Amino acid sequence: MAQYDQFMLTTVSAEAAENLLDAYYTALQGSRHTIASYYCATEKNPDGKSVPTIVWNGNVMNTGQEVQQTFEVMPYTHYDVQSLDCHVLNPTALAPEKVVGGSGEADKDIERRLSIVAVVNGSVRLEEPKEGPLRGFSETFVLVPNPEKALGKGPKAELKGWLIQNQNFRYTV
Amino acid sequence: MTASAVKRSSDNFAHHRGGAAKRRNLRTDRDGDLVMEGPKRDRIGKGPSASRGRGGSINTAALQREVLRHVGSDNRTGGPPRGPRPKSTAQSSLSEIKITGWANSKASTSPDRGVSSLITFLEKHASKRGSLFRQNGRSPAQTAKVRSSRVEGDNLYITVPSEEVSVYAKINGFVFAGQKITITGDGIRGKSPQIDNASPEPANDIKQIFQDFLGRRYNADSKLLSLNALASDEELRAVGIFNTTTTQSKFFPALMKICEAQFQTAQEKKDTIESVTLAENNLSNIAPVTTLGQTFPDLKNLDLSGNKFESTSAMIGWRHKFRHLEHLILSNNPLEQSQPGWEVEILQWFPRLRMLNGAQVRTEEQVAQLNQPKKVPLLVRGPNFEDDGNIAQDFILKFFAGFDGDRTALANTYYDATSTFSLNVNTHAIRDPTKHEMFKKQSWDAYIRLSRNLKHLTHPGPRSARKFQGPQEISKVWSQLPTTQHPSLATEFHKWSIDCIPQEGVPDPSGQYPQGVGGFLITIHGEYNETSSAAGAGTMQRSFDRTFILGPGGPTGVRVVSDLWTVRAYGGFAAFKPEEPQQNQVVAGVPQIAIMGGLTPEQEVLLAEVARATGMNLKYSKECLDTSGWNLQNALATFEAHRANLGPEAFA
Repeated sequence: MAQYDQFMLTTVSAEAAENLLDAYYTALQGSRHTIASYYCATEKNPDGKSVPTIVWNGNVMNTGQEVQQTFEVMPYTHYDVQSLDCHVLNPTALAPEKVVGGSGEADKDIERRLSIVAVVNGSVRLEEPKEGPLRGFSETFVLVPNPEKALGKGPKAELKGWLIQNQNFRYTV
Repeated sequence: MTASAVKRSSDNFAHHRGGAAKRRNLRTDRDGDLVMEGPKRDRIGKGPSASRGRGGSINTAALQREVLRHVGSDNRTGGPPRGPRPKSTAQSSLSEIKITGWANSKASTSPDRGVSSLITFLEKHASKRGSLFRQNGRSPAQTAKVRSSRVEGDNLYITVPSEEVSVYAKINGFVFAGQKITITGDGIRGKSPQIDNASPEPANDIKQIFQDFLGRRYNADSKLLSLNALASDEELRAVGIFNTTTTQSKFFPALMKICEAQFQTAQEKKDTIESVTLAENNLSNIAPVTTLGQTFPDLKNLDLSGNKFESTSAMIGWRHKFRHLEHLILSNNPLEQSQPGWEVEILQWFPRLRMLNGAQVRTEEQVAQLNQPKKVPLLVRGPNFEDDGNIAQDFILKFFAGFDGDRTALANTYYDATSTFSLNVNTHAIRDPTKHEMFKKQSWDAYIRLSRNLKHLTHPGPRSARKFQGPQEISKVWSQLPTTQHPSLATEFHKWSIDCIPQEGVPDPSGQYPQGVGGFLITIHGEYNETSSAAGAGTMQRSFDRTFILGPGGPTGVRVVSDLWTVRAYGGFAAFKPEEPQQNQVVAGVPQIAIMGGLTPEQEVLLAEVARATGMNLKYSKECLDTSGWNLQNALATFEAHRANLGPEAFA
């Protein structure tokens, strides 16, 4: 990892996590029909394990659609993100040839190939505004580059740059 | 809902209310005269105050006006259409309004027949009511002034600014010196002498026709209002309701208005009419009858069969209306052929719909779930720990022992040159509600300098500087942090919450697989006590969340790729406890238990036996035994005989 520009890795990963998770928590409360679009496509690996894996308080879900359906019947939720931190997980998570319009070279386009591990801590108001129960939560995300994402203009450029690959949510208080 | 039934319900209502008179909007003014407030605009047609004010009859003037407004073919009402009254644009314009009914007042013996005191009376009450005149509560900021007046016979004409006319409308019907006065003029609705005196008959006639019609079409036993085949109703045809398109289009809204007026409360309405049929009405869309949705929002059964709906869009106005609709009939509508999949859309529109065209589309349980207070649909479960060969478990055990004991050794064991660590502090975290943690002063001095909370740390420089890489850097940072004692993972596991899932794409230290190899994503929530504080301050109990990415490599073959540590105020461990399933089973069990009521012990045994042998639920098992004289052999024979006809609802 040392051979890559550390400053770039830090800024790109932090910005990607901030943008995606800001939008994600907004979607959880306001546009739940978009929730599935935050998750990577379901993919089975040779070892039999599949992504994405979403664990919500010990309940395992295996597709973004499942998460969306769960949230579509959720009562009111309002998330207050109080802290956020993230690291680059793997700078070359996306194979170079998979970068849309990329150079295809092994050490290039890192800013579009890196995966991220992010942690969020905060509180969530449930059921109803102001009066509903208030819980503390902790959530961990692994974000991977969206292989569909293109630069420039057009519908592919509008896509999210990173998608949720793995996720773990827990009430902590 | 015959007229007599209506009368009865009206009487009952008065009875329930006890002294209905107390609740009437009757009061006396300062002179001791009885004052009756005019009907409020928004209650016209359904205002109990208006109706009882006229002696408890439901034949209210307001209702008459509504009927006339909806079905009348001339301008008898004289009032503007419903909706915001057009405001006078010219502030200076004046309007003349007429006051009648005062001629025989107690004040009429005075030389001016009481006109001056009547004008004072009008000004006083108008001033109290106009928002124009009201500021800071009740005190009139400005007084209504009558500009000029004249008397012609028993009519008093007063001239007032046009924008004040609406205020005078509000005191229409007030009692002045023992006489109820009537105020008429442009912009004042109701109680006009034309209606009251000149031609009351048409209104009563039409209302009577409507009420008779409703009486004929209502079945009290089934709580069904049959509004099917309206155009072929002899008596409606006789009065020419459907002769012109105008009266035709006004007919249904007027009918709904009259329905509405029969009920004092929404509950009463809900209890009286559960079903409505609008079958065979030749409707191509619901536009002519859309007011049904407003009048009967709680309807349970609705029959729209035999109409001309080409698609669900013909009913779009009722989407998400009728929130309690259980049964909808749409058979014999073109949409059945012209819009494949129409059922799906209808199901989405009506969340409690159980039957569609006579077929079950949702189970009782599905609907019952909707009626539960909306709760988070998933229960908190215990750990989801997907380990492989105890790699994750061994790591966790050794990690926290090492972190409490020898951090340098720990860093050298599990961290390599590419391992990253950072700490973030959530100073706003919720605290343990069961303890006195709420009030404990938190001190973050020992942590905050190192905190990489990106919510607060916005500049790239510090963001880079507070991420640590490699065992040397990491163990150095750890040495600056308070020493810790975590609860035992063996004996105090309830104070921990640990999840672990496989994580692909973890960097391969050999470099062979640039897109990564398999590892683990571990998330740990727990607590610790500080055993020393670098800042020399007192030690505290803290809660923490810690995420590790484990991958291959390092001296032991297992290394930490990433370590993210969140520290927060003590929040306890109650949240980690798995939730017990509740309520749902109880709800489902109730009807079953109810079936058991009234059975002898022998019958209970038989019932259980039939249910066991047939697989039917208790309800059907009991019916089967009922028809078989509570003989086990006969019951089983009956079951075999009818088995083919039994639907899924018969089985548990």
